[in-house]
Amino acid sequence: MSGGDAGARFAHLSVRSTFSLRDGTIPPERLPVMAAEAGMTRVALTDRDGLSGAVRFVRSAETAGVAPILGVELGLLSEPCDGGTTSAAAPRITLLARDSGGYAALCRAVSRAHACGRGRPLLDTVGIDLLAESGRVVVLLGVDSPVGRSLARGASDAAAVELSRWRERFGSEDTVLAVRDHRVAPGGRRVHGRPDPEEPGDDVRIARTLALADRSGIRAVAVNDVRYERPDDVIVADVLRCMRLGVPLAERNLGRTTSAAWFADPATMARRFRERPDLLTGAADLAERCTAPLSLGGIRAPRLTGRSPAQSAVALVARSRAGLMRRFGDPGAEVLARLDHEIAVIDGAGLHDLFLAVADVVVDVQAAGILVACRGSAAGSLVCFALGISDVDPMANGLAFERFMHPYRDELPDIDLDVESHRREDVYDLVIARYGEHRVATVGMFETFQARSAVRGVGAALGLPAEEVDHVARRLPRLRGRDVERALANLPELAGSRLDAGRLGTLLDLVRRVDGLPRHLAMHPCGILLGDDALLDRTPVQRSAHGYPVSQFDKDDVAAMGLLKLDVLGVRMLSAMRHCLDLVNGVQHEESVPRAPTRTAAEADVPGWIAGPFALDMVAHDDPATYALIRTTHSVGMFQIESPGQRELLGRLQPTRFGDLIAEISLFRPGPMRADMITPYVARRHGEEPVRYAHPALGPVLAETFGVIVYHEQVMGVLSALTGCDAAEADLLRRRLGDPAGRRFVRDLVLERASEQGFDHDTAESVFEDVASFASFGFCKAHAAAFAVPTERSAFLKAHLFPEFMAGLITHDPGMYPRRMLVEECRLMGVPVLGPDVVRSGRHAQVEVVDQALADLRLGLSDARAASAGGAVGADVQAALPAGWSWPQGAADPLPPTGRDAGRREDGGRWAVRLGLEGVGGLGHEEVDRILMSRPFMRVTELRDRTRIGRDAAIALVGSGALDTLARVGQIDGPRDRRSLRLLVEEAWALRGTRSRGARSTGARSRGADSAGRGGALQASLDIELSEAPPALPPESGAARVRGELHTTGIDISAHVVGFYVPLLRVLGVVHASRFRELPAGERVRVAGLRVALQSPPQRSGDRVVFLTLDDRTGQVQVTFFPRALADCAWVAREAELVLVEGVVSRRGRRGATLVGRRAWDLARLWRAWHDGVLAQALHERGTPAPHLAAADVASLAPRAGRGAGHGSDRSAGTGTGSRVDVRGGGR
Amino acid sequence: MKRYREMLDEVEVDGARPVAFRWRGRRHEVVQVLGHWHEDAGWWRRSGGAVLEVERTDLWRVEVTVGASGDRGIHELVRRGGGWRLDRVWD
Repeated sequence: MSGGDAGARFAHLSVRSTFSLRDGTIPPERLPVMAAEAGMTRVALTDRDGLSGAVRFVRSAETAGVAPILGVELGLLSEPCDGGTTSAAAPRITLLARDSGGYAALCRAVSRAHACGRGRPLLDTVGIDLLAESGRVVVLLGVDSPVGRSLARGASDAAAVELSRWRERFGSEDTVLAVRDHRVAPGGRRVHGRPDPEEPGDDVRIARTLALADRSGIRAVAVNDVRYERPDDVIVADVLRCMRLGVPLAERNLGRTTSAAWFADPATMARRFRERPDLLTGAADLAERCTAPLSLGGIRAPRLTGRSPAQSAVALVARSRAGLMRRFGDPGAEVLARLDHEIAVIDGAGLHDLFLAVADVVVDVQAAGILVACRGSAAGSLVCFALGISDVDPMANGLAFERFMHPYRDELPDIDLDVESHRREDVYDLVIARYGEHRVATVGMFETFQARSAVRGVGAALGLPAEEVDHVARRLPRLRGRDVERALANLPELAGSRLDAGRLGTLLDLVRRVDGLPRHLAMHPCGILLGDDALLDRTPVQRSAHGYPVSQFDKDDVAAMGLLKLDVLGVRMLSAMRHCLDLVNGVQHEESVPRAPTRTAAEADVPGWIAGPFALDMVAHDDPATYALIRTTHSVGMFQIESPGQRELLGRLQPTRFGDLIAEISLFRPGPMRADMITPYVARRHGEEPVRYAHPALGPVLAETFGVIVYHEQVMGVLSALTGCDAAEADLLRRRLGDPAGRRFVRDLVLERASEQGFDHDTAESVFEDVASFASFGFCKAHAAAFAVPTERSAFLKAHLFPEFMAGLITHDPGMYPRRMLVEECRLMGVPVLGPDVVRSGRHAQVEVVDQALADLRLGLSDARAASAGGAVGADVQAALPAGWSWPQGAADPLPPTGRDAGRREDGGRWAVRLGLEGVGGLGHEEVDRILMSRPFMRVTELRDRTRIGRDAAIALVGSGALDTLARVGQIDGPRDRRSLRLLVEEAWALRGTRSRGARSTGARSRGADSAGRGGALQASLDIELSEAPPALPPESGAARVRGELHTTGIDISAHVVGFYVPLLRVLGVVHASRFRELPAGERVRVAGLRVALQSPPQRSGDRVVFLTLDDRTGQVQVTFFPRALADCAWVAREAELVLVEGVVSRRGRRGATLVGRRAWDLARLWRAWHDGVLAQALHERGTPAPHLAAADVASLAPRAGRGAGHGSDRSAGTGTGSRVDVRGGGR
Repeated sequence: MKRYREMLDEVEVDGARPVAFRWRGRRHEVVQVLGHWHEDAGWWRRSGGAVLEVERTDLWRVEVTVGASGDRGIHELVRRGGGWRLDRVWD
């Protein structure tokens, strides 16, 4: 601040922030700071089309000591809104809220404008009338307003008439003319890209506006229509604008000719309006008329159910008691006392409606046949258990209500519901149907510019060649824009870019400057706002692409505003479990073909299933068979406990009951892993180490975890034992342990009170230190218990309803492993997986009963069965079995590698899983529909003519094997193999047009062309005429067939890819996974297989440790690479699909055997080296090969693994990250 | 109106404001400033790794008297960086 005008009174009343979405560069939280620095006491935020920046702005203003004013800039629709087309060049006005009533009016107006047209929000005349009626809103008419436009045309009278209309509605006080001086030259303001010589310069424009103000008696104020902080920042504004409009940077596209729209300080504004200082004062005066628009903080308990508070309280007690009767029969005094306690806390917070509303939602969701589970600390509430919201008994499992809510916390408790992921929108519909559109909105979420999107957007705006920009963008890892330059330095392949250094530099400089700016409002994947009739006074809403109302605020904003949020998370595991239940019970769901139940209560040997359809609430805790399966660590597909690290922990922990699963889930977290709480826990659990307590008073609190502090609830319990405080206070103390100051406070308090509780000073101190260090990474037991419910249920389904459950997993792919791994898991349990088939498959995976011969064929058991039937015994039979299988003495069937045969049926048939048609890549949803609706087919041509599926889809069907049955592939009257079939199908589809034109004659000729031999048979099976006899093709190899399957479905259906490498594996002396567990610790061995998972969880030491899971068709081996080995092995582990590892067997616990990897090789590369006769040299290679070699190897080698064009391709193996929308297992 | 785009060497200024200049050998004295505007654009054209910054252009529309004749005219002067240019003339 300098100069004599420093003291000028002024406030910016027209300012866009980054939440004008690609039309402003000032973060809303920065705006008040800038105002304070410039000596302003007030400042307005007037974003284009929304209020999304409001909460950040108001919060920051409170800190900066600046009075915030909220407003919005909206385009106008001249007619009442009819949802019709609108003009992008609509006139615009700025509206300021004078108080909270004005804010509510703005919210409604913004929502109304967005309802007018998605992506083109415009306010209609009715909306303007509603704003005016509120009497709490000021309208600012500036350059782009209808008045300003008339003045620009020189139509002063028309402007006066227009102005009088606004004055009639808003009154003289609240109608204000805004003038700005950007020093724009005549004709400088380009309209539609062209200089318009008739456009006046800013000087003339201002003169006309002031003349109108004098003539009409309407006040004029100075504004600057701010879009950026400093003049130079106009660059970023230009780039954003051109990206928003999708046009290249060029003068005609900027919509500006000067860079004056910066956050000019009062002195600069005073210089610009030297002759009219009253315009600045006028702005300051107007700012002072606007007060506190938005109050933040505090709990607002909305009236959700429409009942009065007293009625709600009575209803909650009644429903809770009824629920307890249902759960317990006779609840008993202790349970009822806990209920009274919880109700008292809920009474205090006035949150009865919250519990009733969520319970209603749960009932609605269940009634719609959707699985729902409660997640999070709400599982610690008996009321939630009683109302059916949660399925965990909090008292039996020692869960504290106070961890969920208590009287000292002034924030709303979170209740999170998990639902089937593919039916999440159905749940939204149910919630909206119950509470009404005006009381429900989904939480917003801002997509921001990230490195790739920024490079693409900026590159396009700069007019750089698209392929060069793409070259740069694709090579960037997913990272923030500001890291781009560093990333480039580390990416040598970018050196090949044809962009010169200068242009690359310009690109990257701009990318850095747009980094992190919000670009688009999206729907949060799970948050739903529940409110009452006042909801839309608090938040503006707009429509998502699917038509759902979306709040303009994100989750932090709504929390700050005290709005009630219900999180509804889509969980694929629930979808998979539903699929399993539907198959078992024969419920028809999204299938056009009726389906019979696979089992009945009478014949199935499923514990708890007495009669009727099977349901998940029949699953009792602690089923022995379930836990026996879990203890084998064959936990692939089990919720939360299937990752390699979890499987290793299962082996050490050996769970026997529900509580063990809670511990398992809690221990497998970064904190406990880093602190190595697992080792003492496991040792004490198995009695290998004595259980000790620092003080006897801690026994009751820590007994369940053998003296190790695992849960938040235990931290609370210990603090309570040390200080004698109640659970609510203990939770407050626990929360304070997070920061050093809080920790000192709690320490002093503990040491002061501990002696009264019978602790001596030293003991108290050491116990406190323990608790304090564990507090930060302990896990909320209620969270873990809530997770453990679907964990136990999924394990139960796997143990008792294996084929149906696996079909569900294959369909919904909920976990961290690729689909082909799930298919492999079926084989390892003796259940063959049959490929998709246009004759038999449904849309999704199903269960079939097949005869033993077919099962044997698919499992590779035919030879061994024949040998056994032929009287062979012992080693002869064993030699005929596939790797990993065994044939126990006297058994009727061979035993799968896992030692569990889940395919056997009482009637002599075998269970099999049949893949669905939707799994065939290249086949659309509609095409699957047409196939299912047009069945049965007798010939391929019938399929072609009735379904009208395209050639590419037909080729994909061939590759996947789905036409094998229909075309009689491999039979005497059918094509020899899929390669031959493909030629025939290509021809058949090429002939489609001629066939439909002259069907009769072609058919006649087809019958007449009685060529002898195989060619004729081919024609018969396809019912097509061939232009010439089929060429004599070499027979299709097994590898080629599997490659086709991988390409179309992502799954190696007919054989495991590793099978093709067997000759090399013999040379290399590789051990099978099924035999791995029998190996003694310390033995140096080699294993090989397909990479199915790769993890690098945080370690206590901070070192990077890589866990790799290999699958070799006999099972999986867990390989651990410690830092020492990573230089040699990291690249192979990460990049190779097929991996050979050499290492040392390590044993931890009873079942846990892992390989500590020392060396790793890309198996495909070794294969080629072997064929070239240079295997020994290849085995000497270490580390990262040159990039061009790596790429060539992957492309050129025979069976390429795991890279399907279908479902496998969008999820690389083992990263464990789901799509943003779906939550896959892991905690948040 | 005629367009010229000719560079001017001798321009006398008072602060930022042009007071007099020499064009085609004749001295022009500014009688009155009719308009002063800005134009800032074209920052993205500079490649070669130059720091991105906006270059400001001042447009001055002035009424002048020409040489000894005393003829009056309206001239538009453009200043970019340190240089002056005569763009347009209304006789």
